[in-house]
Amino acid sequence: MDPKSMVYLGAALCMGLGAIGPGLGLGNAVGKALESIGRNPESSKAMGGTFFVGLAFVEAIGIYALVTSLVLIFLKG
Amino acid sequence: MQAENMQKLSEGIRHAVEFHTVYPLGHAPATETQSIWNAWGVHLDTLVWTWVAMAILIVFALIIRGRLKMVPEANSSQNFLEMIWDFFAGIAHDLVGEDADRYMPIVVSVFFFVLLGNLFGLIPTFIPYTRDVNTTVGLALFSFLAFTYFGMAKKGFWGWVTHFMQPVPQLAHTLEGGMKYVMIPLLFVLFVLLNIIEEFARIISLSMRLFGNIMGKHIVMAILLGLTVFLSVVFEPLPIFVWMIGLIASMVQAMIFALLTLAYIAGAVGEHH
Repeated sequence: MDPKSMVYLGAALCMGLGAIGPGLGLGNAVGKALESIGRNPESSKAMGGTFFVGLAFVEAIGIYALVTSLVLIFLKG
Repeated sequence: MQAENMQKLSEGIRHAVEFHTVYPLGHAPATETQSIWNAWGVHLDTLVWTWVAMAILIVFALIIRGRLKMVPEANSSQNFLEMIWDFFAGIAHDLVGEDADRYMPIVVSVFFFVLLGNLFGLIPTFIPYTRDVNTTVGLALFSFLAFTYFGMAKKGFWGWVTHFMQPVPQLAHTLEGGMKYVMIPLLFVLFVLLNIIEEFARIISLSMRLFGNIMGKHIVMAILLGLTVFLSVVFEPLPIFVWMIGLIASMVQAMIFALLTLAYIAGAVGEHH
């Protein structure tokens, strides 16, 4: 296979495999948040700041995979 | 009609990712491989839009300063600014303690600059200058300078240098026996490397998180809004939902950047337990 097609293959694999981790992490986090709301409905007031900050941190890991894919596509292919 | 819609879609994506580069010294790259190392090119569209954002922020700040009131009215801009200031000041007082007000101007200024940069992406002909990795790396380097400077100012030069070996003095008390003369230098080297790498990882993670989110959001919005040409026959308000996702992500990323800058400053300035 020539290098150009390997670049696209690598970019696709990078983003695809890199979406598994944040998907699991975000699902766990939101699941636990919903569980705590179900157990104690007043805890939905605490969701304001900490919840979204935590979500953004976990999301950033998937964004690193996206950035790697973009670098591969636009700079090497 | 299918072909020209696909062409408009790819043009939208190309508009989202391309930069208008000028070479003020005249050294345009001659070949493809030279372009990565060509440091004399300037992204003119990013630069112009950062000037526009700076002008907007400075003009608004001067206008609001001209009509400051002790008790701001209900829906005024001063009230909005105080809301944002109070949000960061609450967290700063929790993290730092007394002299949190020294660090507030930098954090809130960074917040507004990043917020304007992200929100420009939602307006049709504006360009979100934070989609350019040069802007985000510049902002991350500025945060690095901020927390390094504040750490050095609070603790002195040697205080800042010795904070690189930080967990070792506490750990050294818990070790006993003959092995500790071998373990302590090993742990020392390990933790110094770890802390130095952490400082660089902070710069990279700050810049790449913001760049990836905004560039990714811009591309995804271009694709989704291109697809709504087909789907808005069925469901008319569809572009509004695409736009709202972009709005929420922009504001959250601006808040994350400023909050992390504040946390790093607090970590550099604070005492160790």
